[in-house]
Amino acid sequence: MNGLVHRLLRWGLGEVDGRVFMSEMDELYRHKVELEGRAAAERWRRRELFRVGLHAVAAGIRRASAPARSPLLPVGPRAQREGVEIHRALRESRGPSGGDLLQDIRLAWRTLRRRPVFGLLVVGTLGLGIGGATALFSVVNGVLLKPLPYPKPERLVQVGSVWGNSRPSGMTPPEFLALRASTRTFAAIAASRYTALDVAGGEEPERLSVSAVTANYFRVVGVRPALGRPFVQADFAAGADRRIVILSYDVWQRRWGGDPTIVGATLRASEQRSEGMLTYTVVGVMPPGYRHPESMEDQYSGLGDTQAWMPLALEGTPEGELWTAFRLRAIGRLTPGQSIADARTEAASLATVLATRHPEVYTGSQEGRSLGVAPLLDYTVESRRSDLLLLFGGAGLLLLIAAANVLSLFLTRALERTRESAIRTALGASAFRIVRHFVVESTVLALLGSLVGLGIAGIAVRVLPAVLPADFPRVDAVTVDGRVVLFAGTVAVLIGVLCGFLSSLLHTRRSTGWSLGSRGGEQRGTARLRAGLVTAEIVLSLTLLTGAGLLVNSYARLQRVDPGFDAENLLLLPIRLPRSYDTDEQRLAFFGGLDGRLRSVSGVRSVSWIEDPPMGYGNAHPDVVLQGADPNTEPVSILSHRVGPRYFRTMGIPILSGRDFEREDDASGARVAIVDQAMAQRYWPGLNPIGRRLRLARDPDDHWWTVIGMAGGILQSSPAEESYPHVYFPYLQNAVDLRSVVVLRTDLEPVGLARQLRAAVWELDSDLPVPVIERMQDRIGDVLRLPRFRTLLVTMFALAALILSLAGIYALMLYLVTGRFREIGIRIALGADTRCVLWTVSRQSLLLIGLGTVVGLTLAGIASRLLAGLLFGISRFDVPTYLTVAVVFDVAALLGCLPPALRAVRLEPTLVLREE
Amino acid sequence: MTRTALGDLEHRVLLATLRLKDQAYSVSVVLEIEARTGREVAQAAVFIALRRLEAKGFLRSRLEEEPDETGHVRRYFKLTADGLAKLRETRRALKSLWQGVAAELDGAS
Repeated sequence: MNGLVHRLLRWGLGEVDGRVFMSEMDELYRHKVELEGRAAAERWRRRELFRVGLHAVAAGIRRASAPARSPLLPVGPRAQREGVEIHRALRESRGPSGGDLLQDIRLAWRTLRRRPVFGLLVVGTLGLGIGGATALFSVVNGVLLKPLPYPKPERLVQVGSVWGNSRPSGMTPPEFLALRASTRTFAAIAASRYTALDVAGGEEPERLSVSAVTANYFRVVGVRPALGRPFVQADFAAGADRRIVILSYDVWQRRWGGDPTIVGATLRASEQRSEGMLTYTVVGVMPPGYRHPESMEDQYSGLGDTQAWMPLALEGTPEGELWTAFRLRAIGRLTPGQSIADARTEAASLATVLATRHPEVYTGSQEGRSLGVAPLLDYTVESRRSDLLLLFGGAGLLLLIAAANVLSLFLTRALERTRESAIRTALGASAFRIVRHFVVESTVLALLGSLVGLGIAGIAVRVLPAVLPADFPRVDAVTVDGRVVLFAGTVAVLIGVLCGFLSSLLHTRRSTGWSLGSRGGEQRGTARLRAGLVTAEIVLSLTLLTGAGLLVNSYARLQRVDPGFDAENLLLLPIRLPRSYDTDEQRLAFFGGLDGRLRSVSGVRSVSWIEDPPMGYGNAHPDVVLQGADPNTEPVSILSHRVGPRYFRTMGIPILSGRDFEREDDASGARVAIVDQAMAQRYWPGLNPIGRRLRLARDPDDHWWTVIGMAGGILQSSPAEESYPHVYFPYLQNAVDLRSVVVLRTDLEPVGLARQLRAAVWELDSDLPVPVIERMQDRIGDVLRLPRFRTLLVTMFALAALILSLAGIYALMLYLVTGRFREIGIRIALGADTRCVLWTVSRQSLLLIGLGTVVGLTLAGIASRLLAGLLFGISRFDVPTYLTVAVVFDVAALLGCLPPALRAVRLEPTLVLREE
Repeated sequence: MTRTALGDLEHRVLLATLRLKDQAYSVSVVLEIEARTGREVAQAAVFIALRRLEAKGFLRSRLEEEPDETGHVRRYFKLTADGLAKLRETRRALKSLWQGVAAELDGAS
């Protein structure tokens, strides 16, 4: 024991002062023996040795890490101060005390400042891992976990039609009215219907996205206007003035500059169903941040969130008309004490009653329709839940890899510090004390890493709205809030404690004397642990990389899909005429005039129109009866379109056989239709479709339409869908709808045309808003946004994982090679050639990489189940993808092994052997 | 005026070193402080404080090996000009703090 202390003091204080202390202490010791007796003196001596020993440790560590300093005392004032601090910390650690943890943290901080590279590596690696996980957690938190921004949101439910276990969709007005009249489980139930209000005046006419809502709307959401009043029962009474509007805060700020006198002000506007310009009165403004429930929005409106609310009057309309009129989106607020199950039972039994009372309604495709209820939050986010959890899982894998890397770093570092710990143990530090020191140090680092991670998450949250699909629910709720910070902190603490604890085990388990006496460490055990960690990293990285590979491959295929039309230089200009365009003649005149004006704009080559162009404008698929079909079979549901002149030419859809619509295909001519290839193949396989006849099942006039041509098939709503049957009718033989989208083929990239196109519209009707003019390519881009986002994110995680695991392989290899310098030196000295040395040092790494690759690909194969529904045109076991990933990864891994291996090959044996 | 302030132990160690003239080393300083203040002080703390004060420039030291068979090695310390200045400064500060409080202090006891 004495010898050990002597060595420690000489190491810490320097040769001279180590001796001086022992000598001077000896003098005083003898003095104490004389005065107080041997036992007391002995106690005193132990105390003194302990104190000075701590000081020596601090001074020694400090000098060891700053070799330029003179080896003699005095060490600098800082080291002295540290010595005293360690001393204090250790003294306090004997009894419970709050201050020592702080001391430990300060000590950890200082130790790290002396090893900046190590610290940066750990903080950077964890920052990356925690950053990815935290960013995804803030999305999961905002979208899935945060309660909806309404009072008592857990009582809100979506109500609607269901088939079996399907999501509640829209419900018809009679169903809504019946439920509202009879309900006992709902405190209030409200319905909403999308409409639009074209506001005239100001700089230019503007179309506001409006939700017409029933009387109880404000009771259900539990929010009242910040200015003015909500709608009251009287607003819905027969004969009441329904031309009243409540504005959203944002539109009030933007269009009316936050005018405080807005309540009571009037605006000139036309509603979709109103006849010409009318006067509307503003009765209120909703509070800032208030949002119409997303489950009630119309995702096909193309106008975004609701900007204003108007009363929706269902009363007074004859019931017969209401059944087929339109669908309502309804939400309800449960009565306290009533559960969702109660509401479900009530809705379902009401549906049974309605079905027996109106059997004519619940037939055909409506058979089996019932009423259902779903929690509003679940309903709103359901479609994206699996996507988010998948991405969160990807981020989790990255975090695991980062944690494995960091643990590996800590283990190496711990090995280097066995002597330091041995000294502490020798001086009486308990195992607990040593473990705590390590844990505090690694936790401090991990928390710094989580700060970096939070920074990354903060940036990600800002970038997200730009890359997420426009219809992604609750994007505005994605923020870095307390829960996100707590998440990052918890993850960091878990990783920090785990790393610190595991690496401290290397220290507390060994005997003190042995460590002080030998330089090396228990290399074998650690090497095995590290090899295990690296293998785990390889496995996880390969899983992520394979997932990313599959998604990238699938996305590339999606992008290459031919939609069936030429998307380049194609513009879309949605038009919605007010009710004042009452007759077909008026509408035809408008579109005819617009056609001429638009075609005269230079750069425009061809113009046509259609109600529902491809890529996200919604669609109508009425039941169609085919002539000659078995009368007992159900009518078939087919996407049908009414199109303007030159539609196929404008869109670039080829006419494969027969002819295009001509001018003479008007009201006076025979009724004609064009089907597409998909329809022909499905219903007349191997037959010529030309000359066949069909009719609309619900057409009261029973008109038969003769097929005169077959067009190429197109994809209607997304490149990912299967080709669906389409039928086209000429506008001249069909009423033109108020709502149409003008399609324009332009010569060049359609830049700067928007102004001229708008001007052309306003020449015809200066009050008609032109909210958006879109490029078809942007439209397709929007449709592909979700797969792109998913692919981008998983690929980013996979690349980060690749980098981290390569770093892990490199570090392990370097560590293994360095530990074997002596052996390699001897081998070289004994005549081993380059190949032999290379084999010796890289054998283990090659084995790890090989093992990791096999296990990783297997795991990837299993995990790819999660991707199955997201892949397009590619199997989840796509062999080329797996092979490419494995080859790329293994080549990269081998390259990572190369520098350390070359170091071994270039070793100068004499130098290594002499060192020993 | 030096930037670093004197700690309580440093203050005492400096004063003891001054009193001991040429004979100040850890043992004699410990005994001096204990004799004068009646309170025990750790030798390790004094040992460290002496070296810290030297690092601050308030003390200088010389090493002395006893030629006899005891083999004692001692490091003797002496105040530098800076050390003396520091003590004066501390005394001035303390004096001014002590001024005018005697009445209250004695009256209270």
